Amino acid sequence: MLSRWSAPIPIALLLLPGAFAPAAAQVRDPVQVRVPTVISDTPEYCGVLKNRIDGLAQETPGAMPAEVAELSMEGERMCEHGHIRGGLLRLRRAIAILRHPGN
Amino acid sequence: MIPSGLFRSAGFRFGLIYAVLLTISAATLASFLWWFTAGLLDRQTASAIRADAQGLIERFDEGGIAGLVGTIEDRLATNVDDDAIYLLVDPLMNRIAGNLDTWPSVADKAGEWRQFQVRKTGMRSLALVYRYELPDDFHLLVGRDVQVRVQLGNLLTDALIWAIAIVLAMATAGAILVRSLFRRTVANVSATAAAIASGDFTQRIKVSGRGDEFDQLAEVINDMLDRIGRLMDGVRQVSNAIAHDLRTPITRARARLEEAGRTAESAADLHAAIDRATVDLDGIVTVFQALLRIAEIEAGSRRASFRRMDIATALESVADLYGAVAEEKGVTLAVTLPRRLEIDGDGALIQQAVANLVDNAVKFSPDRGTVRFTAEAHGRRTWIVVEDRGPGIPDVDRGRATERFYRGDAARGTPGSGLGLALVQAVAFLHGGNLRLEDARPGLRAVLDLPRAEEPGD
Repeated sequence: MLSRWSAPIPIALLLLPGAFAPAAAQVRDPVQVRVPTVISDTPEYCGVLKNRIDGLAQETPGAMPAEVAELSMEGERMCEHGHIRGGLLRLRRAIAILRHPGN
Repeated sequence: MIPSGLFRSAGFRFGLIYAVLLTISAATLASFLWWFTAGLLDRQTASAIRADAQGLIERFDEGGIAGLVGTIEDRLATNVDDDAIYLLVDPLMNRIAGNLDTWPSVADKAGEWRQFQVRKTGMRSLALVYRYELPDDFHLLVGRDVQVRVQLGNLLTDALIWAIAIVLAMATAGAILVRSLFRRTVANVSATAAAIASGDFTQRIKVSGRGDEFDQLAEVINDMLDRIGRLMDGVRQVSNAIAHDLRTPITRARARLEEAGRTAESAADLHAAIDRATVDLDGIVTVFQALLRIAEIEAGSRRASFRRMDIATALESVADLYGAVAEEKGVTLAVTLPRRLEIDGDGALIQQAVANLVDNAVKFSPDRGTVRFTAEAHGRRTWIVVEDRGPGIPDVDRGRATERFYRGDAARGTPGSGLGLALVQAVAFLHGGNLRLEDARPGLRAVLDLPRAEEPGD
């Protein structure tokens, strides 16, 4: 069930051969190899991002923006409650605001 | 396996062409839509990965491995979409930075796209990556989680494939419809042609009333059949007329010769009988000459001798000739002719046609009657009018008066072959004109309507 890249698409590719490189990306049978795991969606990574926020806040002169503090707190709380993806999203947004305050 | 006989069927070929064209159009449209939907998603993903990798390599060039590690961590930390995939490993394939726990075995070749499954938050997902080789045998993977995009792409692709399948089915149905429509139309024409070929000339092609090309074709063919029918009737009528009209003089000539052979007492009697028979046979020859002349005129061969001419003089000659004849009969010929009357045509033919009209008018005019003979220009036309006060032609017979050998009741007692008006009409048609016979109340008004000579610059 790995991919549909190799199944119905050829109808279009018949008309546009080689037009799109990723469409021809080689797919290997996953059964033969160990499936890599994404490690940026773990509770531990929540802690990594929280530490990064704290470090950036210290580097930034003045008080932490209220929006950042709120996102950081909310993200941390969601991670603690097992809502990892939602928590990571908020923490990442907080970092993005600290990195690019004008945006 | 399609029977080879089907390809000989025009209906099948039309249906097949329709189906193939429709399917090709649909497939082209589907490919276009795929290229701008699912294909666009793929291209955007590839473009984002390349741009991302380019930035990382620049950071590596500036800050070495440490700079690259910091940038990867920064990008992961700010990856709000949560779809970025990075992995930086040392020469021993040990992870230095990134969010994959191990190097995927499929990424075994640099400079190529690889797609493989990853485990993300406990679920399987799909990653698309590109492998870059860094100095000192460091390796970098840059990619994206494309699970959602692939699903969306598959959805779009499936929808387009189904759309093509539906179009294919509709094209097949349409092809069958086109074929049956074609067959029905051709069958209509074919059945009519077969009926006519078997002798039933009354059959005509059915007109659907839609006014489409098939109806137009049917109407043209029906008009053609009507015309052929009229011509055949004409031929039949002429044949009958020839047989009928020539039988009398031939029988008479034969009877005279036979009687002379049986009863003649002297050579003078025999000569007299031969002379009378010769007169009868001359009359027959005259009729055939007139018929041949009409046929020659109708064939249009005389058109080669057309030239611009003033026919006023020719008309005056006719007036002079028949003025004397009319006078003998006590009929007044009232002539009104212009000084000049130019026509592009054959003067001798026009003169003969007008002579026929005047001859008829004088012949049927009552004693002390008046025949009016006028010619005048009407715009771009020339009207030569001959009008008498004779018995005329009844309305019901007037349309047939120009047929060969037609003789009205009033003409039964007068000499003639019934070819005069037929010749006049043939001359009129040859010159692009016509002959109109009207009721002069009483009498007949014959109007020879001819086009005038075109002025230079017309």
